[in-house]
Amino acid sequence: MRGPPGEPEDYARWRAEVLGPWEAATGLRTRSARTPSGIELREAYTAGDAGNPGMPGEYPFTRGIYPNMYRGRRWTIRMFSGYGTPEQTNRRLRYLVSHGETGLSLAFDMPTLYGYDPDNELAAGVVGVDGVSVSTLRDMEVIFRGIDISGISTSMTINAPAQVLLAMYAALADERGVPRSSLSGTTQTDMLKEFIAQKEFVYPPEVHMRLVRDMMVFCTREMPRWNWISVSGYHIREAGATALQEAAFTLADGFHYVEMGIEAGLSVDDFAPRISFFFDSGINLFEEIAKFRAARRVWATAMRERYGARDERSLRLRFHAQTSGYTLTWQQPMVNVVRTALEALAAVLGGTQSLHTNAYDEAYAVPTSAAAKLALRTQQVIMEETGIGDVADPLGGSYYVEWLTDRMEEGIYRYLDEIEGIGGVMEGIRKGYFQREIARSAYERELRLKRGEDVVVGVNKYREEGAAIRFLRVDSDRVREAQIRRLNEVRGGRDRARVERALSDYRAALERDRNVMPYLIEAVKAGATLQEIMDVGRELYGGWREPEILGIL
Amino acid sequence: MSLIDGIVRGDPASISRAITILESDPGGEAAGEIINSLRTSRGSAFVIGITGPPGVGKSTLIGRLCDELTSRGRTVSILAVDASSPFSGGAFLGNRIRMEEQLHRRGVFMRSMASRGSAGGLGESVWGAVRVLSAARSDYVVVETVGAGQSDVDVIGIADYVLVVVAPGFGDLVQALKAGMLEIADAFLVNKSDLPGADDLGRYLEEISGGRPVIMASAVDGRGIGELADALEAARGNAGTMRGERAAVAVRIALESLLRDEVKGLMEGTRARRMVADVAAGRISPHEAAERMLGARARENLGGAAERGRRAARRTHRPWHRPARP
Amino acid sequence: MAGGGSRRSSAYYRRIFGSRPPRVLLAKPGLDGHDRAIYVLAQALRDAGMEVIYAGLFTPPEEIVEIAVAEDVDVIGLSLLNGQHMTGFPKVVRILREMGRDDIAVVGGGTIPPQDRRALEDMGITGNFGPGTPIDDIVDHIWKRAAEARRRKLPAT
Repeated sequence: MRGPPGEPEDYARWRAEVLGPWEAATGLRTRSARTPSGIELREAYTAGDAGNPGMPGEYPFTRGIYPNMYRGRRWTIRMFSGYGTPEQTNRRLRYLVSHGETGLSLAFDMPTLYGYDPDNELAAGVVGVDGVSVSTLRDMEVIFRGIDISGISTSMTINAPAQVLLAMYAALADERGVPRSSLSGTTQTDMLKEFIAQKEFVYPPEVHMRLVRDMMVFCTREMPRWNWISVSGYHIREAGATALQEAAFTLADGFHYVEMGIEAGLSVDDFAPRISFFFDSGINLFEEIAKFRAARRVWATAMRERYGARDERSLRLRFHAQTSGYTLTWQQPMVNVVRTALEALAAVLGGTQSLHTNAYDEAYAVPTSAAAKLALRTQQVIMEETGIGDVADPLGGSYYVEWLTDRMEEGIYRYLDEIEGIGGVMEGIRKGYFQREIARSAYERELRLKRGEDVVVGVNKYREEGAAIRFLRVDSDRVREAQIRRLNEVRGGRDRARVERALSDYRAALERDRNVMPYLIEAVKAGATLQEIMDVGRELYGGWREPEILGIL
Repeated sequence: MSLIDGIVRGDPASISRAITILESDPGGEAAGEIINSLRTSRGSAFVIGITGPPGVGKSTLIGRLCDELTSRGRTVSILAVDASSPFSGGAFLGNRIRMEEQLHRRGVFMRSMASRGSAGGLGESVWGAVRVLSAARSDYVVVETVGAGQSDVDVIGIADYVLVVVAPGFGDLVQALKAGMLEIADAFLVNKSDLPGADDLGRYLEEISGGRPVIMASAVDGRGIGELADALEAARGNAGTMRGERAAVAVRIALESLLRDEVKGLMEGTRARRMVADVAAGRISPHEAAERMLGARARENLGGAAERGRRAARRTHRPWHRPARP
Repeated sequence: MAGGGSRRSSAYYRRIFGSRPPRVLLAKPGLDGHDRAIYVLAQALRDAGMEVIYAGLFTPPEEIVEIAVAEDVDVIGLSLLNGQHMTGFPKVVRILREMGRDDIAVVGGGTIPPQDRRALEDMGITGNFGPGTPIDDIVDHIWKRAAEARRRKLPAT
């Protein structure tokens, strides 16, 4: 139950009797303050501000999705990794597992993210640079060599070609005799946020939505432990959105996927439990915490009231968080360790289920092992030494946090109404609504930095001349050569006729609106490459150019 | 290769350079030379003015239209007009149309123009660009504006054929279009005609159009594009009469621009300062002041005053040497 | 507003630019969807009185130059945050050179390490600003390069 809007009596009394006289006596005027999302803050909050937020593990889950939170289940330390060749990535994964990581997370390089093979001209200079290069099932086999995929969960940060990578993972499981139904993990798959923020799209929006739908249906039936989507706010936030916009746009996307599932003929409780989320964790501690709590409340409420979900698992907003990359500076990079620690704290106090902490050198490259390890230790200190995990939602009942949660909730609903008013998420994307909101917020932030209203230590205040730190340089050309060699081996060793048949069957499935997943699994088993598969869609549907964003700013 | 040779050969760099010269110093020597040299070149582009409220789908329409016309063997160029910021003088240019990737593939020349706060200046720039593009053998020049300002009406008036684009759900049609646009339209196009309300909109336009074509279209699906291209090809065949009207509009705009310069010149002198002081002190009315100033001016050469005004507005470039930094 | 605003009103720049403000083309010549910097810079340049054109995502170098020439820009601003700058940026410069358009200035930005910065500058690509650079620094630099470019373009023909 929310607290009241406006100022409660006890605040008014305090302001008249205590704050006012204090300011008069000391001459210390209270400077105004607001959260980065623009919410005006009072000097202090009172009992009259906090409503009744309920209990952890109970609808609407403001205070956490499980009753005992981290006492019952610790959050997963899931460090985003992957670079270079599949061999290098395999080594890094095994290194992290041996040092305590409990879930695997794969980053892919640009060509893979956009569905191009390493020998494509567009891939020059970026093979293996921001993530691992994958174009055939053979690459996946190498990545997971010596890793038991039935015993660990794997998260794949992949979107436009998510259906192909999922097909590869399923094919790998088939090869190893691991039942698909036991596979645990996530594919990010959230194409709406690609159009809104990350811009890793290949086809027009409707085409991608159809592919997402096919993944949703396939997983619901055959891979019930697989989170086929991670509805993401991280990228929306990193592109410049405020925390409030991040929460609102992400939830709008989530609801769109729910509607898609219902339209596909699935019962909401069959697929909704597997919808997971991925949020940013920023540096304004309390706004982030309030954001997580408000998001849980809005999700649960809408799922029950609007979409008729009955299963509690459909109402629980599960999320992975990543500390904000945008807040990292290359100036005085060790200070990033502090930032990351505070952002991780916000995520834990906000009740995250899984967490990635950035390495201090991650501002401009894939991190070094040492820096990645320190980021890992950051989580372990929070988990083992601070005692925060001993009590569920320790900030529950805080006057400020409850008040701010209520304000965030209101703001989210305002945006959801606005989005509905313009015709929904897809219309918003086509009209450039989200993109424009984000560009505007990004610029407003830049202006605040310029004016000194926002401070970044070491950047616009407390500056120092410093030595540039050494950072990991991936020899992309060497990776490219190695990958092309393997690619040619695969091409040389496969049954050409089988590949062609598989690709033409896949094409027919696309045209006749059949679920593409079985055809993709066959195609990757036959040795079809990622680009060969993605090109089928390119031929049929073409690409997509963004609507104009700038003109109406 | 001289600039003129380049233009006639369709070299984009030459075309672009010439347009720049004509828009940055329309009264200058270089501009005069270009206009003079192009006088004898054959080729006369048919100018299509496309206007309408933002969001109706003009850019998709233009992209599809370019496709259609080029597949019929025509060359097309585009002039995209955007408003400059009244605060900073800066502008975002032409991004909406550039989003159509067909342009690059079809060899369509596109140039963006900002209003730069001067309706006359913009009209002149468009006129100059059309001259250049005509000499470069462009069959069509599409001039696209948002249709929100008076300068847009002036610019569009230069066109041989004005197409007003609307779509269902865009509020009150009459309000959305600047006064004058409805009058000068040669045809209307209802885009997104698959949406509810399209038929009603089409019927309304037929009522007020007085016989002018109303095309129902859905640019994103390619519907109605062929019909539009047919109408344009037909109109292009009859271009002679329209040219005269277009020239009259252009001359009017140029006159207004020259007179504006003259006013600027008048306001800069000592006489102006005295007159203004008199008005401020309540000794004479503003109208009286203006009449006196004009009366004095009438004794002098009108062209000379305009030239002074123009020179006041223009800074001539001196050969480069490092001046002291301000 | 400091920086761009006062710059625009200075007689020095008025003399160079006359009635035609600096014109800048922003582009991303590579497989990179990070466009936050582009949108922030575009707005800052517009507010500083410049005309801004954005070529859009994933634009091939040939097309970037084509737009730059047709629009007669003073500066091309290239941004890549995917490590592909040593492939994409030089290609743009190469094509400009082949077309004899050295008058157009090229400014770079993105995740560019110091050693690459030097190599790019040797090619005539200046700036090469990283994330966290104060926006005024970038705007001022572009003003400067635009002024140089404009002087190179005049006198005409």
